Amino acid sequence: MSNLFRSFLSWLKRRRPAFLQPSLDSRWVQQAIEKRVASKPGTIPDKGFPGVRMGARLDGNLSVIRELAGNAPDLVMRDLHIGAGPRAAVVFFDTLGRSEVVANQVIEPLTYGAMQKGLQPPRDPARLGQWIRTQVVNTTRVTLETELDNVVRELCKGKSALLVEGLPHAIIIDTAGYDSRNVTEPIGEPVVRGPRDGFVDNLKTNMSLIRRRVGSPMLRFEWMELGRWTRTPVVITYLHGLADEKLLEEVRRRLAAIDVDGIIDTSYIEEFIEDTPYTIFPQVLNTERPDMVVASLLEGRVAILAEGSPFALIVPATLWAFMEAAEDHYQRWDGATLVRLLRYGLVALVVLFPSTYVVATTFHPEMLPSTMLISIAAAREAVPFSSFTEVLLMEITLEALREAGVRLPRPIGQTIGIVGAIVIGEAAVSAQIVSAPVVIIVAFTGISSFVIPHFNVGIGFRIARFFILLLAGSLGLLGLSLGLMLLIVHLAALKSFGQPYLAPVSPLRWHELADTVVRLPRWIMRRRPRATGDHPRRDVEYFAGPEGAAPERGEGSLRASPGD
Amino acid sequence: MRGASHRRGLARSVLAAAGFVLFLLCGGCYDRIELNELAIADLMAVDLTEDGLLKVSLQFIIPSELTNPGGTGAGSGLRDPFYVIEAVGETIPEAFSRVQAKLPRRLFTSHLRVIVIGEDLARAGIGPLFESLTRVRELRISADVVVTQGEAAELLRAAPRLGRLPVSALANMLHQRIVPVRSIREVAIALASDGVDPFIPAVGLTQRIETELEAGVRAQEYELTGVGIFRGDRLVGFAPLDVARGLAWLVDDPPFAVATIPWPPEPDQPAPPLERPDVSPEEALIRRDAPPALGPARLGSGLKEPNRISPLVLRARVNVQAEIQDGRIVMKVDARAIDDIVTNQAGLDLTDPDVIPELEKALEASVEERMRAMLRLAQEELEADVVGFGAIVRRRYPELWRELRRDWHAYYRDLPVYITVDVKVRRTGLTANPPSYRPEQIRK
Amino acid sequence: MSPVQLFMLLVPGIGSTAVLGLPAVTAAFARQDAWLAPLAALPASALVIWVCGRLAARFPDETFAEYAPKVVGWLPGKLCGLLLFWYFFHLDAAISREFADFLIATAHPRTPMALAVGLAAFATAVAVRHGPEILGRLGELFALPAVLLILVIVGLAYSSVDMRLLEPVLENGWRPVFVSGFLTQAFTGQFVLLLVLLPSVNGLQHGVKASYLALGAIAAALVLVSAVTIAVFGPLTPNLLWPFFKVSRVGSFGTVLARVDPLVTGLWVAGSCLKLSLHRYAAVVTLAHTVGVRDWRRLVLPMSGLVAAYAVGHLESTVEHGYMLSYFWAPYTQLFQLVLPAVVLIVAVLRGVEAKRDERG
Repeated sequence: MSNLFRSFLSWLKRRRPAFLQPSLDSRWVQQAIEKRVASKPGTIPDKGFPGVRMGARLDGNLSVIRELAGNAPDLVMRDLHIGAGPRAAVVFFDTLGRSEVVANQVIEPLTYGAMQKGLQPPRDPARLGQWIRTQVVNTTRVTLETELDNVVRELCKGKSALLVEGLPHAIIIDTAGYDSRNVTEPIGEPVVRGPRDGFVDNLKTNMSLIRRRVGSPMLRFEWMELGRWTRTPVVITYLHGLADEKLLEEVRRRLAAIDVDGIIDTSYIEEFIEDTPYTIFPQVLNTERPDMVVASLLEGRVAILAEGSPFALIVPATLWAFMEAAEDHYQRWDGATLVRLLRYGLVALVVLFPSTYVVATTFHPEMLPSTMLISIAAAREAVPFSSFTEVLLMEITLEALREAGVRLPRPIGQTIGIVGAIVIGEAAVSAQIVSAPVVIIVAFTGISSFVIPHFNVGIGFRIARFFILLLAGSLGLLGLSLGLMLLIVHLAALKSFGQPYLAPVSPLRWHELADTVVRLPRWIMRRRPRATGDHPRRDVEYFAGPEGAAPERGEGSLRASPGD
Repeated sequence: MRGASHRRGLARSVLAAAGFVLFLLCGGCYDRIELNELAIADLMAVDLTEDGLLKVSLQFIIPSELTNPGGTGAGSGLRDPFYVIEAVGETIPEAFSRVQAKLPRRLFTSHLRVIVIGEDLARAGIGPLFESLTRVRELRISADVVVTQGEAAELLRAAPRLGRLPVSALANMLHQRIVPVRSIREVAIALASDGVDPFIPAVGLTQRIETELEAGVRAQEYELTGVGIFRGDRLVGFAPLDVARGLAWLVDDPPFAVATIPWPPEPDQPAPPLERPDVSPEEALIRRDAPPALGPARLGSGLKEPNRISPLVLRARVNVQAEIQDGRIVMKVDARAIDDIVTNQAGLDLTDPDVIPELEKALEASVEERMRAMLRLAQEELEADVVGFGAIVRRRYPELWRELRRDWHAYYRDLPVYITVDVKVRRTGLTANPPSYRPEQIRK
Repeated sequence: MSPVQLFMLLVPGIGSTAVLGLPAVTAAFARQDAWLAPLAALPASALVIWVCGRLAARFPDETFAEYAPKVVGWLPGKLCGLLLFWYFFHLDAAISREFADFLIATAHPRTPMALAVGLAAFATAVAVRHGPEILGRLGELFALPAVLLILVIVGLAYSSVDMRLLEPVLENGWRPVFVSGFLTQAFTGQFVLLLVLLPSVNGLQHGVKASYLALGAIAAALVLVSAVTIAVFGPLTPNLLWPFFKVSRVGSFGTVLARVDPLVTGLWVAGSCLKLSLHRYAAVVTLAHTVGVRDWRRLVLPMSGLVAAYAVGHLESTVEHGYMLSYFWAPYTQLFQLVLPAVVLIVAVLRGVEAKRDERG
């Protein structure tokens, strides 16, 4: 019996007829809301006021909205009369919406414009809303909202709500607009040649930067809100048909599972969606370059953008993706290949050079040629520390200098570099606190670590360097090789959204090596890289070319190939 | 999303990392030694004492005397950047441990580049020495080996001017390849092989011209004196440098060297040495002022042998084969060389293509004579198969070798060796004809 | 694991220790003909692969320890599984031992053996726990450097190579070559690993083909290495404990590295780790399937400890180890590498036992 009753109740709850929904017209609803705002504000973002409708009475609605906004000083409530007809009010945050837009596009046509044209607002409230939306207001995005929660949320996104006396809805008018940074060259990933626009802190601009580059309607944006309090808009973007469905499903699943108070930057999201949290290596690529995002989308990857963050996340990401600079794709392939090989060599140095020096000088002096051994021995003659301590000290000094240089304003940062490099290095050597070879090695390692295009993987390698240095300093060659072995095992076992971290080198995928270890000319790379799923040849088309039915052979980069 | 299991994982990994670091701090550092705790030896001399023990002299580098870490010039310059410590022992490692007793730092022998063997020890046998040299882990198996006439430790007294360390002067001199260089490995292979006797370059000391600053300083340089010839592991004699060059040819390691011939060739006997006119410097001055006499015989007649032609061997290849002729093993040596002419004191017309074959014939004879001289020494006097004829026979006729190996040295003494030499003169230096000759003086 | 991964796993996984030590063992019998020994070992090793391939064709998704009881009966089958486990375990310990011996003799004379063995056991346990897929990937990463390393050593030693030291060919006839070929078989017969690995390979036919190719590659490498070693050390070869390592001590990079041998040691450590992991994996899986432990991963750490303990304890010195390698090891391993799987295969054929049709992939 009680079961039946319960199911009836839940049925009621699901398809509650309007008359059963509480409306702001009721005094007790207003009081309940005011009480909760006063006593338990922390529960409001979680629970909201589900199912509470706007009332037909303008004053009631306005007072609750004002209460919910905490009597915000930037909440504007402009009273007006529509033509000569009913009383109305435009509500918006003037810190989010543009006042002049509201004035010109909403208030002016409703009042002065309607009078001028001699428009008569219909008496019937139902027709009134329709009339305002279709005939009066000039902006492009106009919707109707009935529920209180939604109205307030829209306000918080910078939209304006037009409330009319006698109308139990709010007419939501998109007047959002606020100051944001201009599209500028990305600071973190500059190129000599290549596109110069970078993402900004505004999601819409960022989406537009991507949309501009992809003419295909297959470009998809999936919108969601994350963060209990911040309600940050987050967008998953991919190319429908290229991105693997399973991958997409996984991305959606992991994003939906995020439960956090706020998303300040996409890095918050990154931490939640990584495959292995306990590792020093990042498994999600981030970039502030729209061209990188589009290139990744074309490889079947998925990008994630968030409002307020100029960094897009790209999944899945392999180690090699972190080692790629955007520039590689814009310079000639031969030069880019050489630069890449140089980069890999230098990364090996970053990880191994200091520990190799320690091993060579304290465990295996027979490795060094006699003349070099003598030079190092002479330099070390009066140094009080062991090689290991010396290297460790200098490494820590270098990390300190780097951190100081990054945090300080640019002009001072340079001074730090000069003081660190010249004064400390030179003084330490001439005081024979450290030996000159160590300074050379540490400085060279430092320079090498700057060739890693992505900062976060560089941090990983630097941590690995200390780990191996510790092993090498205590166990010599055995420690060095075991440390390296463990590092490689770890890297080989890592995954990014199911994609092996070291792919396509291990597991080996020959045709993908063309844009990993080296960068071969584009017309050689005929197959799409397999981020996940299958990897069709490029001449399989997903949408018809300009000629219509006949699929165009060689899309995009292939167009200029001499073979075609 | 990250539930209890993850928290447990975190705790576990933190624990593992802590344990690991602890383990490293407690367990590591077994073979660790800092460079400034090492006494780096770079040159070793081994002698036999009168009581039949090994005397090991090690030369150590003093790095701080070599370079000044402050970067202001090299060392103090007041003291040598090396010093020598000696010790006696029954074996090499034992002597090393006695050396260690005289050292403030750990003895480090991995950078030994040259090992000098004294004559007495070499005559007594180098087998036991090479046992140690190949077994000890620290030693470089590619270190060079030389022998001396007399005591090896004497060589450690020299302070050659070129090169910061004596050992680099010595090693670099050896690697000019006047005679073949021998490393520990090569000597050990020769010792272990059937039908090969080892040879080792011989080095001695020579006085350099002292500058005024050097007065009173021992001004000695290394000098390559030839090759020590062994039978089995015992030194049986030395081949002087000129003869040793013949050995270089025979083992297919021809020197980048000059071998002067007289012109016209005198096949039977070298011309009786002319008495060098006793000319005082003043007279020489007067002579130089005198108008040049006509005729090539008068040109440069103050020299002992005026009519000489010097070739420079550019490339050479020597092939030694064993063959059976008339039921008897003979060795066939086939040498090919490409020469450059670097001096033509004889006034030969080198622009004439017909002259070249004659010249080549004379050069071939001289090369053959070099090899013959070496073979005379090795086969008849010392009876040491340094060329490895035995090994060549073994490769070609293994069955025959099994019969011969027992008394190979007796057989080797009378082993006939046929030598064919083919010299090609490919270029004649930078000038066509000698500048001091008139056209009519050129010999056709 | 793809067939390519199998190939690249087997080449350094089986070849690494053989490359280092084999020339001394074979040259003791065959002298300058030792480079022929790997060729003499080819047929028997190919037979091992063939037997493993046939067995895998009958039971495509099972390891040896799973199907042995079905073929020869429950108790004998379990015994066969235990025997195979013992072989893998013993081999794993022997490799650990050789690894530590080598390391101590060449680079770390004062480091206690237990430390070296223990660390290697720990590092490999980490790799093994990730499973065969990761081992395959490691193989891909190590194969190329391993081959390059061999080529670099050969190239550096080139100026010391004297091909005449390889003559006379077959001075003492074929007999010594076959004897040393039998010794080589102890190394190349390690393809019996396929009994455990083949079920993890996608595509049985290609997996077996990759194994034959790996055998060919290993034999080629061994021939090259033996020939170069003999051409450098001639009659000294049988006296050297790790002859190819000595070859690496002959050459140098001039002014950059005087001796490359510590580098060789370092890279060889990595190679041995791969080999250790492979055999550890085989041992653990075989034991798990014999005893009936559901998750073999649980056995990895205890097994690694056991291997390390056995490796440290079971032999006194390098002398015993060398003697064992030369006289005892080859016939002993043949028992497990060839006889055991062959017997099971023959019984399976005679009794017509195989997995159900629908299970065959």
